[in-house]
Amino acid sequence: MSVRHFVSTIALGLSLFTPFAVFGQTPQSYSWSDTPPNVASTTWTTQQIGTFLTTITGALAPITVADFTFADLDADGQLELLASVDFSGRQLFNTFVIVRRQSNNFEVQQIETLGVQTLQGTYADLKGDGREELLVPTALTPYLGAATPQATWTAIYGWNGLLLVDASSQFTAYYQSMILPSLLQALTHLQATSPGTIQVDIAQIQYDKALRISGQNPTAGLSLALSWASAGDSTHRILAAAVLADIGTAAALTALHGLATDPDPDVVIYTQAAVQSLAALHFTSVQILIKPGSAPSPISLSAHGSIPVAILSTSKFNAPTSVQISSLTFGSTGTEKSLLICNSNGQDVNGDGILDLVCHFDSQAASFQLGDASATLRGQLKDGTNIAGRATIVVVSD
Amino acid sequence: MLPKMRSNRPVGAIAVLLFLLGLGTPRAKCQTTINFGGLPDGTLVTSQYQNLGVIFLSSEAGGPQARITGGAIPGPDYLCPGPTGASDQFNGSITLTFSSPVVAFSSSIADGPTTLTGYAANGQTQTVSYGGGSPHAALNLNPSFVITQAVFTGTFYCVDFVSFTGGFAIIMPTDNAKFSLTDSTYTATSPITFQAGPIAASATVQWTAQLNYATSGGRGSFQDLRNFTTDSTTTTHNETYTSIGGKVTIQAKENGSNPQSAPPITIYVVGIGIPDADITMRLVNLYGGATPNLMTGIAVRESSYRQFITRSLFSVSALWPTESPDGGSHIGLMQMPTTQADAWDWTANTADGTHFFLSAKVPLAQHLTSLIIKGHPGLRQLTAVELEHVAVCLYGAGALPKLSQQYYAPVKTASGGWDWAVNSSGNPQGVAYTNYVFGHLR
Repeated sequence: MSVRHFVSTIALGLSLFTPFAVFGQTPQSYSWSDTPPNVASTTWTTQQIGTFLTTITGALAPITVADFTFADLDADGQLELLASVDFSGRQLFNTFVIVRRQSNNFEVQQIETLGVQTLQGTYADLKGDGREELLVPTALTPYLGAATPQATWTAIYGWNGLLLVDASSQFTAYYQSMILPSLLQALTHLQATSPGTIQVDIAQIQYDKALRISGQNPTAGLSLALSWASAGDSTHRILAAAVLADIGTAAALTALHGLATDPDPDVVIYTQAAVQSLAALHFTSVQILIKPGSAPSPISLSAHGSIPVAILSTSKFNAPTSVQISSLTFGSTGTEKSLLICNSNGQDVNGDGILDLVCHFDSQAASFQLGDASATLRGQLKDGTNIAGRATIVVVSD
Repeated sequence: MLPKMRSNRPVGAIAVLLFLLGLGTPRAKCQTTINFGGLPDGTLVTSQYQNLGVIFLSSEAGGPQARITGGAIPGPDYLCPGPTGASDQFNGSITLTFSSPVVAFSSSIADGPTTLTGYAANGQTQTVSYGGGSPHAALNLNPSFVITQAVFTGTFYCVDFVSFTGGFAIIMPTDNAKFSLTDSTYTATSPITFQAGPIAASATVQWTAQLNYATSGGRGSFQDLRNFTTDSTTTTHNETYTSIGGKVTIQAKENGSNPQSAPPITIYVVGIGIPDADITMRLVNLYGGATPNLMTGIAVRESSYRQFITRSLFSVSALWPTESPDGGSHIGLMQMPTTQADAWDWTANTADGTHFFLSAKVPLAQHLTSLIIKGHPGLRQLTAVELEHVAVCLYGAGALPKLSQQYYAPVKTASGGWDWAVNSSGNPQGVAYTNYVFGHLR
């Protein structure tokens, strides 16, 4: 039995336990219930967890684990595995992995982060509802090499069904009480000790982001970014592009697009990246149904064909008439150009009497991978508004 | 440099007493007396006695102005603060800086309230003041003394002589000296000479040189401990630091009938500016792929082509290994995970980075693209340079694991087939990183 074959049989629910002689003691051999003895009551090494994750995700390069924990993050009585991992081989540890066991499947959600060496302080029950939020160090400005500091902020991911989603805007009080004061203190200290340095500017970017996300000032940092956009040095113009994209107002976007024709090709490179990030930074959520009208079934990695996805209309949102069909992308990350065709006439797939938009996507071009916990659809409305929808899936190899 | 012993003129009673005490010790300590004899009138006294281990600096307004004078003040040669060589009211100070600590010090002030004595602790700054009419209290060992007027009395103050006795101390290297990796293609220091003295004829000196390094965030910590011995015959010892650097704490202990330890000193083994041409040549030689100078672009992005940059570490500003902004999880030209070798040996850093690229990233790029091609019938193979694009994207901070997050992604062609397109939407930062690298090849 190959590893891949074994995982597929796990996914199909044919076997619960791993033959020890083949796999040794791995987490899938133990109970994931929160009742001891369970997977959390056993001592694992980071190497074992890395091997486990590599196996269940079918990762194309060995996964290195910096830190991990088993905890009931969503208070459902089942343990989840939370790990900070590296796919790069350079120990960058830029990804959180959350593994939940659903029946006999392992569903893996990946969240981009930034150099997380330890999980200490990365999850907490901020709402007091028993469910843990994930505090995700997130890049605000691009990596510009060792000589230039990178602005970061702490995004807060909360539970939406079975997935952790960016819910930062719901935690304004937390940002105001826990994040803003320390950022202001750091900024003030740097202004006093290192005036005129880029460290001060990075601290300012971080503080302004916290002001925006906490609702205190939705355009904090705009005037500074606009001044940087016309600054003499390219580094500040690159920083400006990132900040302007994050702010996302009309004035910010105008300046951002202006940087796309900057005489310095480096500024153009990073401005293009900032423009591309807009779809992920600013979007309206839409509800999607994968394979509507049929019982939930796994997505097979080897299947060639189409995956129907319905964008659900509501009383205030008419999907068939509002969505710019040609803009739709769908798949493992939501950027996959997998669109085949849409039924632009609409079809009521959920019985609410409102026509929904059903589109079909190429299953191979969607680029799903083993363990993918969700599928993402992205696109635009005809008025230019970015949209995104996400739904849980089960991926199997056969 | 060992101080010469000289005493060619009568000195004050207290100084004589100190002199005798100095001679009375069983050790080979030398008392050095400087009486300024032989210098022409009007001579500005600064470094004339550097070979005896002391430099003079006066603080009179207008710069160093302590000069030799004769005349009204008894005796042939005195050091006076006057700008013209004539005796002058001494309103400033004269600082004596010794090349190694002294255990005894005295001076005689002509026309003043007689004599000052004392010694001071290494690392402290003590002031020997006069004008108050009484000898100064004993000071601690100190490599620097300041003779100054505590109370202006309107009388002349000229220095008749100074006398000092050196203690067992580390003579070489000097405290806080920096040694760069100048040799062996910028991976090793020149030989660093260690010497301590004075020591008794039969004594030996046991040395320890403890090197410590860690990044500003405490990453990659390592130590290097060296023990060696000198004696009265073999007075010096050379050490070379290769592929290593940091803060070195040096201790010397004299073993013999009268064992004693010298005040410890600290030196720093630091980096050096490696010529860009040397870096380029090495990176091109190491790689040999479709884009021969591809590694140079990575080094530009990762480190601005600098194995070492000027920054503060151990509270010392010097050329230290180029750290990643997170406190040094990654280091050097190619920003490899921090290790001793990758921090201090640029040849190891470039070799490791290139090897990692060739052995891990290129094969992974090939594997990923083959999987993408498998899922998109008719999709062509990538060219060698295009494959390098994918591999560079996987090297950088924008490296992402999914098939749809690589540098290229398949897109439908007008004829219904598949072709590759730059995956700007699937991995914006990875694409930006890669484009920057290819835009800065050297």
